[in-house]
Amino acid sequence: MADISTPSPKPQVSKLLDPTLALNTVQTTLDKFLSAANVEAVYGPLIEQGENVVIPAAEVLSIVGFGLGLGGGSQNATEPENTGSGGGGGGGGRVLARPVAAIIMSPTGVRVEPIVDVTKIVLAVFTTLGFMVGMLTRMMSRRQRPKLND
Amino acid sequence: MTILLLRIETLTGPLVRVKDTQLRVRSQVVQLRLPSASGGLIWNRPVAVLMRTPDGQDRILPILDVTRTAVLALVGLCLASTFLLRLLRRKTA
Repeated sequence: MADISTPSPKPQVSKLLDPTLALNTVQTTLDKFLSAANVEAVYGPLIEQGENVVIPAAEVLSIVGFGLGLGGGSQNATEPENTGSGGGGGGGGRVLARPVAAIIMSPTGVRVEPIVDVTKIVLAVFTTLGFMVGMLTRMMSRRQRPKLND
Repeated sequence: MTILLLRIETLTGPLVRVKDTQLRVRSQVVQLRLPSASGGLIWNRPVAVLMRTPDGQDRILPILDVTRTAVLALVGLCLASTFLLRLLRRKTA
């Protein structure tokens, strides 16, 4: 018969409560956040394609936030043994990148080719049209509305 | 009290040599930090390419963000149309 035993939950709990792990996570997140402020974050490595060399360029937006909280107290002021304290923290972040242009070096010269996000522009056009039609409709309906005194 | 720290700087990358052409890439970084709130924002975008041709001429090639320009133009159109419609409504009233 096979020995089926459930592992003790203690090692998992101690791993979760390990402050070094949390500090490492915070450090890694902060390092990633600060790396967005370099030139290397915006320009990619050289890509050689035949006689042409291409350098991709992108826009990078990095957002990060952290919060910490600590607290303590006692149920009864006369019993100092029944005191408790706790703390917690959390954080989050996001890195957004969008291609902007490609620098192309060919035997004829160097040129910058823009990378156009057609989807974004089309969505913006539709939003603008919707907004303008909405404004016009609202204006026309107000003009046609009869006055109460008439 | 929240102290807002805004820093805008232009960064220049290392020299890149491709055949006889020398290039330096340039980017602009906008850093916004909230020390008391433990957070911040970094916005980094390409600005220009500095080029030196084999005959020693320096050129600056600006990098235009066409998508952003188009979206901003449409936002401007929205605002301008709103303003014009309100102006027309006041005149006709």
